[in-house]
Amino acid sequence: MNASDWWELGGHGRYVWGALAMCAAVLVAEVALLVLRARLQRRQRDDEAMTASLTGSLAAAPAERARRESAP
Amino acid sequence: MNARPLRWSHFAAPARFDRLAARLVPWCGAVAALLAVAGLFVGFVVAPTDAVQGEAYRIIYVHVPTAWMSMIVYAAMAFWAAVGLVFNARLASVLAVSLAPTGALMTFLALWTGALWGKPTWGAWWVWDARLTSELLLLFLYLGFMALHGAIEDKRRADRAAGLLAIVGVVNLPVIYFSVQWWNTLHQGASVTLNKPPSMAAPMLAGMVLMALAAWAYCIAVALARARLELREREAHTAWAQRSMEVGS
Repeated sequence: MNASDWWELGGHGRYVWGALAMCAAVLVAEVALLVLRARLQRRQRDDEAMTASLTGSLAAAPAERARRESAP
Repeated sequence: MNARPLRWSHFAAPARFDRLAARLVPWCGAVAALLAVAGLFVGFVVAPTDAVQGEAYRIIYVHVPTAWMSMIVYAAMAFWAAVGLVFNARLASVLAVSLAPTGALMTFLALWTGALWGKPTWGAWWVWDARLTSELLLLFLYLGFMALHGAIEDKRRADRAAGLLAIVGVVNLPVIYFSVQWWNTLHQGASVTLNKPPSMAAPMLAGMVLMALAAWAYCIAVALARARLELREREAHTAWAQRSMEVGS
């Protein structure tokens, strides 16, 4: 069987390859979405950590300023 | 040496399940890839052309595994949903929720590949045949499960409501399986059953079995990976979830 016969599959190539292509596309998309979801989770966690550290700094700022002003 | 019996409830703790799943996912993924390559090689290179259907029969290597998995995943989803409802087990409900998208995709692929097989063999993309219609109903059950779960904000309430729907939908599984016996359908009967020898050539059967095992391994891998993500989201502020995300797998 040469490459052309292989592709044609006795006139049924578009049906067989169409079935295989859709399966491959769906499985790749499913895995890609899982990877994306994991990345989003990590990014969200990093953002929350940064927000928490910024909030902590801002909350501590007035007390720090008062300490400096009262220092001799 | 006194071996302690394995207690499955041991892994009901989210942190332990997360560690177990993290180890299993890459192995199952690798096994799925290897089996799929072997199955496609046997199916497309070794297996002969079918005497009646010609080359169109080769759709069997993706159609049958996806159709089997569409039913098996639903049965697993309903099982875990029932365990979640009866024992109020969080992890069981998470497993049910994690299986649903994969099951829906398997059902969609079974219908898609079936349509592409039906056109050259029956002359129609779709017929309102008992097997096809009940498989379409299965897709709607998956979509209904996911829509209902997504519509309820409280995750535990969503688990219970969607779980109930999953359990009720189990009635459709025997209808799908036995539809070709109960009704006079255009869809052919089962080529492989447990109580009689297969009605297909050995290389054809080998390719199909390899692809079916690949589909099993794939579904386990993606369902476990999704369950890890779902658990992390639900318990994002716990120490184990933070550690799990730091590992980055």
